[in-house]
Amino acid sequence: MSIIESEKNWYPEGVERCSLGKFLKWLAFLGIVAGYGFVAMIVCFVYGLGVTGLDNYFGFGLWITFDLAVIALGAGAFFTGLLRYIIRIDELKNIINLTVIKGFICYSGAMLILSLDVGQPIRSWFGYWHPNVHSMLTEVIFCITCYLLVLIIEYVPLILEQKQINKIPYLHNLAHQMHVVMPLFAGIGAFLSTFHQGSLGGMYGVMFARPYAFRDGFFIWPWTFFLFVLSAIATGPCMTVLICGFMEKVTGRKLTTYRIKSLMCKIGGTMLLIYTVFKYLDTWAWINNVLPRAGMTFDQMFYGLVYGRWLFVCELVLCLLVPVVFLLTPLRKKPVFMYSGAILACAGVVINRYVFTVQALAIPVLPFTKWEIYTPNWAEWATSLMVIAYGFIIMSLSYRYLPIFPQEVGLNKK
Amino acid sequence: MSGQKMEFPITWGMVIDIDKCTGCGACMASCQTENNVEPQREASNKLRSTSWMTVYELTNGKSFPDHDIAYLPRPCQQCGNPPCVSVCPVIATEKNENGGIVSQVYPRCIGCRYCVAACPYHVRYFGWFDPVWPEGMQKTLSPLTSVRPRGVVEKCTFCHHRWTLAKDAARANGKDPDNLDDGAYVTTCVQNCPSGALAFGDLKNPKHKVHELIKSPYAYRLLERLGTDTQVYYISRREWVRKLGDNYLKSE
Amino acid sequence: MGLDRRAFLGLVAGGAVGTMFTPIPWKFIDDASIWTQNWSWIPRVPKGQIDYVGTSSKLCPACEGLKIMRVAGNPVSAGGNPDHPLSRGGVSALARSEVYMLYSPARIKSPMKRSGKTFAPITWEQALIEMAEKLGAAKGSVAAISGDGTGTVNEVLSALVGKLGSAGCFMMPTEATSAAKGIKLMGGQGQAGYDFENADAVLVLGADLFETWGTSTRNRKAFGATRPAGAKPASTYIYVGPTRNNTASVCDQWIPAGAADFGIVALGIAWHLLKAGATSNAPGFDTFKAVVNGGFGPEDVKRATGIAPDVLAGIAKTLASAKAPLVVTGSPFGQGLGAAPFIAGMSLNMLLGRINKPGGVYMLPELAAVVPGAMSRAALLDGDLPAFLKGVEAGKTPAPKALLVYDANPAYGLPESATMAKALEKIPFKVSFSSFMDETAALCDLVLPNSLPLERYDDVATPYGSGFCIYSLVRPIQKPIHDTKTTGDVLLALARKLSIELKFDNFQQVLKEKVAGLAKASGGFVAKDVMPWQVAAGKPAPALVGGDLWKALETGFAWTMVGQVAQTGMGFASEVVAKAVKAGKAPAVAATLAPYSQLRTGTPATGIPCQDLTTVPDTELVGDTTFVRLNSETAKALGLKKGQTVKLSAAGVDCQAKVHIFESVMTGMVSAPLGFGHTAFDYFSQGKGANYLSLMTVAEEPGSGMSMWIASEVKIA
Repeated sequence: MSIIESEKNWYPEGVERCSLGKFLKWLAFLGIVAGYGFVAMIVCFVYGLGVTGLDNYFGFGLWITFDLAVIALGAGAFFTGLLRYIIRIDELKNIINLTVIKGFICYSGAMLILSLDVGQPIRSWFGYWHPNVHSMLTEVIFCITCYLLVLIIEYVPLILEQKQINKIPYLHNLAHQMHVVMPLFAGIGAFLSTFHQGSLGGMYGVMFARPYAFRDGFFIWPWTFFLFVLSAIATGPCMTVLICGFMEKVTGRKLTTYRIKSLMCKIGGTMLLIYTVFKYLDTWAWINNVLPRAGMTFDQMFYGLVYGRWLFVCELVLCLLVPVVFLLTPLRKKPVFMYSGAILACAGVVINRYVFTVQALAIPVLPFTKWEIYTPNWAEWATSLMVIAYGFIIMSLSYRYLPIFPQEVGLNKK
Repeated sequence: MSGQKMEFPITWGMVIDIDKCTGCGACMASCQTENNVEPQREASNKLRSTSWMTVYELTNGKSFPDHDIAYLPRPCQQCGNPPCVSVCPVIATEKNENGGIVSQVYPRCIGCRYCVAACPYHVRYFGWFDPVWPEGMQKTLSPLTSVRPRGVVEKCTFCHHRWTLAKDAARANGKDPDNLDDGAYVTTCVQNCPSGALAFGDLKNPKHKVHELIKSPYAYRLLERLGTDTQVYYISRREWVRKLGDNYLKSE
Repeated sequence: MGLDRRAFLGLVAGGAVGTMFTPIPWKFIDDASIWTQNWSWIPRVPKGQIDYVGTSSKLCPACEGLKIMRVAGNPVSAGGNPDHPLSRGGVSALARSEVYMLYSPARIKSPMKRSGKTFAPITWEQALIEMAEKLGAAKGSVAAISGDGTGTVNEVLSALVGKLGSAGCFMMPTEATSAAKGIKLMGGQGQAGYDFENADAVLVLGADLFETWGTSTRNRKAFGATRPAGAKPASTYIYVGPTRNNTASVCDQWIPAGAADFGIVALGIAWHLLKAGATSNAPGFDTFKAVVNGGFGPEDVKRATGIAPDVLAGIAKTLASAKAPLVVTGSPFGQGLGAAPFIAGMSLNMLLGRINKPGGVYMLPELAAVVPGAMSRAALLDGDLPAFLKGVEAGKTPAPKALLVYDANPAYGLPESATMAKALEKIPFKVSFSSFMDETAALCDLVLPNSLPLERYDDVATPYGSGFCIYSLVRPIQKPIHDTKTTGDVLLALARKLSIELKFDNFQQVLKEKVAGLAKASGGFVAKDVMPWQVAAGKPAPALVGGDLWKALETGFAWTMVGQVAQTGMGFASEVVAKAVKAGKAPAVAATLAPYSQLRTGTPATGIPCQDLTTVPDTELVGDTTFVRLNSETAKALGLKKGQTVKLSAAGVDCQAKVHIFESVMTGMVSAPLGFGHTAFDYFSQGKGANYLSLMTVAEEPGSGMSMWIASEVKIA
């Protein structure tokens, strides 16, 4: 039996996949992108972070923005898990696998970028050994690493269900047993995720000497803690839908029903509405309380084109109000509105993470300093692209060989 | 939320008389070599170069001939409520020692740069590359400050090693190391300033000059309203200079 | 034996889990934290006994006394010496570099001889033979240039050149050059010394008092002492100049005036003083009065300089009502002033009765020379180097057959650099004693590197600007790192080879004799508990306690004396003033170049000290481009924008620059930093920016005949 034929035995039961040649070409393309990023990564490790566009003004840049964005967009995993296993919205079983893989990709990718971003990667484990319990970043390190473990535990049974692997009785049983305890992990995942999504927001909110980012809050948590959680769980499901839609477009096959996607978007939209309310309240309090206390005005928070007011308008109007309407009204029934609503929501959260990371640092807080502009360079872009390519590779392999979509066979019957 | 304000029996502080600073850069040059900062060939990129002590040029923003300038030397402000300390995930920077100097533990730092982001004074510098000295010049390294590899954050320590030396000297002379004479411990920038614009001492010790200086009506601190409670004071008789020490709304 | 896949996987998994229960991974992790602290390529700091030894800075023209910190006997850093009157604990960015510059990549590591376009190392013996031969042949036409304004080595150099048959022995032009010429024209004797410590109102005409003028560290300490932090100042400082420079930034008042107009400003103030009844019995007073009243009334000054009459009257009032007023005149960039503005400024001191008074100008005696046949400092300063070199370039003056260059970099540090370099090329045999591969050394036939100050014996005798006579020693703290020698020794050895009698075998003997002479001078003392300005103010001078003065000087103390030369015929030199002090024409389309100089970019002889690059702001240098400063009105008039790259042209030279809009520059002026644009030295200096001094054109000052280049027109496009 030729390799081409035997490879087909590894597909999930009853589905069609593109030819192996085509698939390998696709992988090769992704491999080149990832390889370029890998070279950049090695250059960073060998020569130091001086090869990036970061500097002492912008200690955080594209990488941190990227991390925060993928972690927010990857939040679909824990939130969908929560809804599926704890709140028991049974329908979501048709898309839960996708969210798990997406979560795994986002979190492992973020970890990869983080290990690049720290100046002393060999000391990364100091976060456990010498933890500063007062630091939001400690909480982030804890939760992200633990949650990545959870995601691996959630991802493993999916792999074990692969047709050929599942033939091994031990692994078959293992996969079954893991499914049984999945609600427990979904619960742990939800807990960990909520905290680190929040802590990522908290990281900025506690910077009391950075008026752009600083927020008052509740007990030890600044408002950004809650806002980041809300924005993540609002956009996570949207991102899942976008990925699913994108995969359908690329493969030309139906993978879930529109109903499921619509449900996910409705959930996302609802969360987005809640987020919008709080975000508006927070912005109002920021403009009228936090900034004047620091002696600064709203106008001083913007500069030129790169840090212009358009970002603010985009984030708070175009990427909040508009998607809320698109996703929560009957407009959602039309794919164009549902997808553009999801895209806008996701774009909004990316802008949010960007301005909190970069604009917050660009603002001259000392009155005699000036606005500085940050431009990421090739090393940062290449490594970020590497992670995206890595995500595509994982997703492509998973789609080709793992039974991710329970509805796929039924929806594609000829 | 924000960290807590720290109080110590000894509070080392600097008082900088802006009206005397000519902006010559001797403090920066002194600091560079005292603290083993490498000579930087491309030092004109100020966002990348390391200088624990930096002199800023202040202007009143007016046109000729009403224009005025002043120079503001900026060491680490050694905040009483440091924005950088509570954020560090690995306790590589602390404010827990008598004297109130914010420490930076290089072997502990993982280089996440969260402290860099949190500090509004830009006193924290990251090691972007490994430091290199021209051949032989490493023989002139100061024995008192360790050389940092790349990938860690560094900052002004108020020449903490000099405090240690001063305490040793006091003990050797049978004096109380916790009650040093005024001037027994000063930083290198303070010592070498040709204009005598910088003063240093224990802000809480009435025998020390700085104890009185900070009570001057012309004394102020940078970004006081953010609640950082710094241990570096500035003095200027010029109102516009003092106003540039913080952000003010039009109504204020 | 078969190992199937399952067994293999089991083994790997079991092994991995099992390892976790061994110390291996934990030890590994623990070691990782140790590795990250001990990378082999990160230099270790030296260990050993720490001690401090005294010496004086020779690289820095402010001549601070230094305390050198040593570890296990090796110098590691230079700090100010609190006991030294010229330091009082302060140190400039340049003096701070004394230690690490030992290892500057620009250092010349051994004697070298030109072969074609490059140099080949030779031995000192070969070098001496070669030099003796060439100088022997050049007898009667040997010239020398020294950049050392304070060293006794000038005695050795000038005596040697004199005995070889001098074609001219020159100092690099500084503030001291203009002052010496001015004093000479006024018929005065001695070196002008300024007692800032006791002055309570100081009018600064142009001099960058706190950066490059004279004993700048001491000047600042004196200034600071009268200005207790947060309290009412006990002194008034007024700065007159084209920019609010480092000095003006701390003065009580900045009065914008072009660098060519300092004489006019001084005479305008004199008009007010005369009107208020100031008088003098010095020679030429009546003529002076006539000159001032004839053309320097308030309206005349306003027309010429733009300074409002009430401002001028205010300055006059401040000076007249002060207990100890003092007027200092100098060039904003430390050279090219000419004699007339100095005389005009000094006339104010005379009108105010400030000559040889506490808080005034002391006419300081020169310390006795010890080398037979040596030229006095006054005689050396009388030479006009730019005029000489211009003459050589134009063929008007015969080119000397040989030139010795000591501690100077005339190919870089003179105005009209292009002309000067051409003149140097006409001299067939040139020797540089530079420690660093500078622009001049690069032109020379022989390069005989001088040991750096920390490696040699040398001395500092009363730098220009000091308010008192002072002498301190420079002594070797470190064995020469490279194959270098003290030039004083080399010159004496050369004299022996040429059978020229200079009385001494080595330079240390010269210094010992000099110190022995000081021990005999009456009124001199070692500054320790009593400082010379306190003596000037009336405190009795301590006796020079017996014991070894040499030893005291070697430990870093300074010998000092509040001396003064009684003036017999010092007058107003009105004829010079009348000819030279005139309103200039405002440039039409061009602008006036107003250079400024800062110690942090070193001197022409040192290049930019590598650690000082960090102190240069990004409004002065970015990448390899330097900035020139002009105010928005000038920029508008010239059609220039912020950040624009422009070409400055004058004296047949083009310099590139970027535009920095800086409102503390007078309208019509372009302020440009000096110290950049090196083509030699190391990668810390080379190729960074442009040398704007090359744009300055040399003119002959009417009345004095002296070269001056205080303000030059430049075209900007």
